[in-house]
Amino acid sequence: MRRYLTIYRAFFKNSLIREMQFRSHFWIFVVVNLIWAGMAMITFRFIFNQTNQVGGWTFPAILVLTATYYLFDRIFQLLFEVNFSRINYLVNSGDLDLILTKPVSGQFFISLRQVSLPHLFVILPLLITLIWLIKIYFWPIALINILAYGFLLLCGLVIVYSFWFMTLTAVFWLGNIENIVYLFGSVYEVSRIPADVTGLVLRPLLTYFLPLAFVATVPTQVLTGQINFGLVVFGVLAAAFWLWVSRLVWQLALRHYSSASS
Amino acid sequence: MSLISVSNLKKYYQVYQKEPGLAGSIRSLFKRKYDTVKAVNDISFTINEGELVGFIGPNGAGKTTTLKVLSGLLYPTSGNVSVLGYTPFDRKPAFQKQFALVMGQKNQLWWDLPALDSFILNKEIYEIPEDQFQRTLKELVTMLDLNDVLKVQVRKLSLGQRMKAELVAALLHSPKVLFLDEPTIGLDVVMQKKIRDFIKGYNQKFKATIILTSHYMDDVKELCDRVIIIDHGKIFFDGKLDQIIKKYADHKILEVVFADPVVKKDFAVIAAAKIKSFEPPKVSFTVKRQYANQVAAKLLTSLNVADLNITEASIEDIIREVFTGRDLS
Repeated sequence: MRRYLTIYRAFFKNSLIREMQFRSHFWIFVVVNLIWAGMAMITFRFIFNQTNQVGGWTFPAILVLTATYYLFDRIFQLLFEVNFSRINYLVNSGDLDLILTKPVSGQFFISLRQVSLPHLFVILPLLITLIWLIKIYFWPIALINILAYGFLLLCGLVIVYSFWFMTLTAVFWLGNIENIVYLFGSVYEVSRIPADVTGLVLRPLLTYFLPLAFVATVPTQVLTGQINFGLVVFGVLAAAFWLWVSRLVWQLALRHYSSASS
Repeated sequence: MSLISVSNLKKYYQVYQKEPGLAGSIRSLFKRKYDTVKAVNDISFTINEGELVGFIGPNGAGKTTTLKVLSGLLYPTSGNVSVLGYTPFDRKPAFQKQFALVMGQKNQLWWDLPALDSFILNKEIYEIPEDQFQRTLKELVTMLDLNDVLKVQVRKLSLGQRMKAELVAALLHSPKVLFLDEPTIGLDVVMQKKIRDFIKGYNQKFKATIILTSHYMDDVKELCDRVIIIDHGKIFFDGKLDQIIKKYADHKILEVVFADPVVKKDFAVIAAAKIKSFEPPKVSFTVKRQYANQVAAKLLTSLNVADLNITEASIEDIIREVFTGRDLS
């Protein structure tokens, strides 16, 4: 474990050195991302002009949920964006070869090799927005709720990572699929909607089977109300379980790796 | 003691045949015709510690596939493979720390970073102690004369410099076994020679066991005592390079320079010889080994010869002819 942290530190350092060579796209990127998050919040303003509550969610809670979703999304992209979009190429070009000969988990290597640092500069203002929302609408909050919130976000990251990664391994069987990375991306966007307003079928599905509720819904509930400890425990188990499954799928995929001819 | 042993290795691929065009693509979504490609078809060999073995064969012969199986990248269809006492596909870190794979057409260095940063990453991955890392790095960089470019972005290096840097990256952990897949591809002759000298030096200095594939016969001739020739997934020859000549070259080459103008008709007297090239006054013939002296004598008596040479066929010629399946004489 400590060894993997050391390697990740080297990944991070290399990404930082690399990123500092390209400055021009940086600010445009930050501005565009913040406009997205702002637009989403404004949209909800229009909805809540008509009504006070949507399925038990008040306007301030929806704002926290939206900020949480974008925060989650940016952290996720920070860690995985470049790596995920390269997997199809790595497998089909055979560049995966040299990675697989290394004494380190190939899954770890291809998932985390490059950090997309520009996202950091979107995460910061989002975090400030979130703290500001909490301050005006939900203060005071117990420390344990804040800790549980962070912990649930972590579980959510692992869950989304595992599912998303598994969809990407399809290229081992099906060959070159350039936009495979968008496949799970579009599914996962459902998590910007509160999972408990999604109805009788989707709600249990999104909580227990494809636990996308752990992206924003459950963390937001913890931050703005009560901790449901049962759900927290379930989140941990689900994260561990799906991470384990993704590892099995990866190992199976490697057996189907044909490498590219050179 | 054999460090690498391969017995009855087979690696088959399923390759689907796509019909051309959009209609073909749509059809292939529902129904695909698969073909089995026998990339490696029942090969066996063993390699001892410290050997430097050349794999040669035409494109698609199965050389790279064999190296990939030995590296644990590909799961064999059947057969047994053992490298350093490990089964490669288990991909045990203890095994992976003892070998390296270098491919002339693939790179592990970060494109946008100086090579040194990739080296440091490998130091962490292979858990190389700092002092050992510095020592090995210095040694390799000196051997390859790479000092000046360590801090230059890889994207700005020439192909030759990049190949050298790739070699350093692959050798930092001092692997006992080294697989080199066309390490000199695309390089100019001077750089080819440098890489070749380095490989030879590395093999001698560190007693590393090396398998090398190459399309350049010079690589193999200069480096490898032993060659394994693969074609259509099968081993065709395994032994010392000069044995190829004894085994397959049943003919010699006669190179003659004539003093007088000659036409092809003049050679009717030496029916045992075939004209290999006709560029008067230089003509060369291929002759069955046992008739070589006889033919030479006949030429000297019947025509006005300025110079005559009897040589062995070149390894390139022999191998080319073996692969194209032509009669050698």
